[in-house]
Amino acid sequence: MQGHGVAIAGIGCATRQGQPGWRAEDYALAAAREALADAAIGKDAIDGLITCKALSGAGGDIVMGRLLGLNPSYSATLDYGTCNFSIHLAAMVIAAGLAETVLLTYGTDQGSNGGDFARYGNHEIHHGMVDPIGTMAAMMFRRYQHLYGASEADLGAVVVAQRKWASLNPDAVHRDPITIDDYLEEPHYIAPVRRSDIAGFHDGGAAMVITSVERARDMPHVLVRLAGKAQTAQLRNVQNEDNLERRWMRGVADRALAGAGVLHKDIDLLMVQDPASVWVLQMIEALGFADPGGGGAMIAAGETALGGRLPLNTSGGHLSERYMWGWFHIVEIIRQLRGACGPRQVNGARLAMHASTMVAQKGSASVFEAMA
Amino acid sequence: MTDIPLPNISDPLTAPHWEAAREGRMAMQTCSQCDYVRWPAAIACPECLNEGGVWTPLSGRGTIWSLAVYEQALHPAFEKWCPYSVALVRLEEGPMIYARMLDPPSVLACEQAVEAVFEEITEEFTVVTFRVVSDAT
Repeated sequence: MQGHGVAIAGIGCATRQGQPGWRAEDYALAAAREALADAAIGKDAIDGLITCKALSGAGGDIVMGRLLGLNPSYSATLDYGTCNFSIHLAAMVIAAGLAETVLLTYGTDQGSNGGDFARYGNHEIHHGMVDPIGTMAAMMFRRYQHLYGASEADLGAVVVAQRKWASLNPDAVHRDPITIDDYLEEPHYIAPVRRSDIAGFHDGGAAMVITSVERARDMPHVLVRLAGKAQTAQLRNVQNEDNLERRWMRGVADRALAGAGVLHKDIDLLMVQDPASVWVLQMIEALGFADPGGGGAMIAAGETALGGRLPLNTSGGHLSERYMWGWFHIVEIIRQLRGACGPRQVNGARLAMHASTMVAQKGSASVFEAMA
Repeated sequence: MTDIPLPNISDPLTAPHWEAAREGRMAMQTCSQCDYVRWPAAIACPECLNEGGVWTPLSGRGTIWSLAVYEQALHPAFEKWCPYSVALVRLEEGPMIYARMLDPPSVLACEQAVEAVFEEITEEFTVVTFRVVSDAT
């Protein structure tokens, strides 16, 4: 044990789009300024900096440190996204005594300059495999249908449910509610998935201040600590036969829950990373929150809606809020655990989990707890 | 016409695969120490880390793990194929490989038996595609 571990003391978001002359790092900087203000600290209190690169490669600590005017005791850059990895590293850095208060940053200009997922990693393009994420999503869902006899409406349930949550989120990009019939009428993009099954790209940034629970007690907000964490690295990729089924995430959830000393049923709110809707079905099942093949029915029945048994992706997620590589998922958790979510507030939320994957290769989960 | 983006077929690491495809064979590296058949090509075996390996002809047979169907072309070079599909194929020898299917997408399903077909894209470049084994016996 490492005392009480670390807390998320400040959060910041940059939601502006297409600012003239701005690059990825400038969105990260705008978010960092907000995170410092949220934690009610000056940048002189920061002695650690962990930055996460955008898909474009922008956002390393060398650049961010210069823009932020920081000479911290410790700095590092993670090459791959989703906020879980950065928070876990910050917890390790603080536990190791390398820094006391760590600023995390992520920024991207991929809405203005990055196009979409189709631009990345298309090494199999000579087969006509144009959009790797769309292609993976299509393959994943067809396999899912083969295994469980699921219908396209099961997949659409994810899109419809997250749009409903987004309609309650003033910061969401896609807020107009849709019905399952609207979804089914949409033509296929890469069959069996539709365009609304795949997240679009946006500009923006996120930042967090991570510090020890002891220090965070003096800060203004409800204290939210990182109660459990776990990771896995499935680096052999599709040469692992179940790679695209994502069942390998199960152990990650179990270890994160065990670290927090809680059970699945104790989780009040679940956020899962969702660059494509099929991720959500795979994740809630692999994590142990739904039966294999039962995710779509669970969502369609309203069990993950406001007032349901397990509110899921309450911000609208990547699909409807915006694509921010999992960072806004944790921002949403912190806001929910602070009780600051207005019409979409999950009543009495005290324990939340965020699970994310980097493509289908790296997985991670965090359990967050609001302290009394 | 054919502005299909092509891989670098002169890369010494992968050239034997493309040469074999041009001759109508599917070839991958087999580790000379542990017999593991690896894909994609690599200097050393990811099982036992032994360097080298022998380019070996494969059966070209496998099963569809899953597939994605492109009803409309997302890149102008592929309009002539539409509708087409890309499958993740589990080869008899073990490796998983992405490849285009030649059959109409409507007849394809997970776990169907497939065999390699060699399609000449240019004089220099032949790609390994697959089709359903019609008379599986």
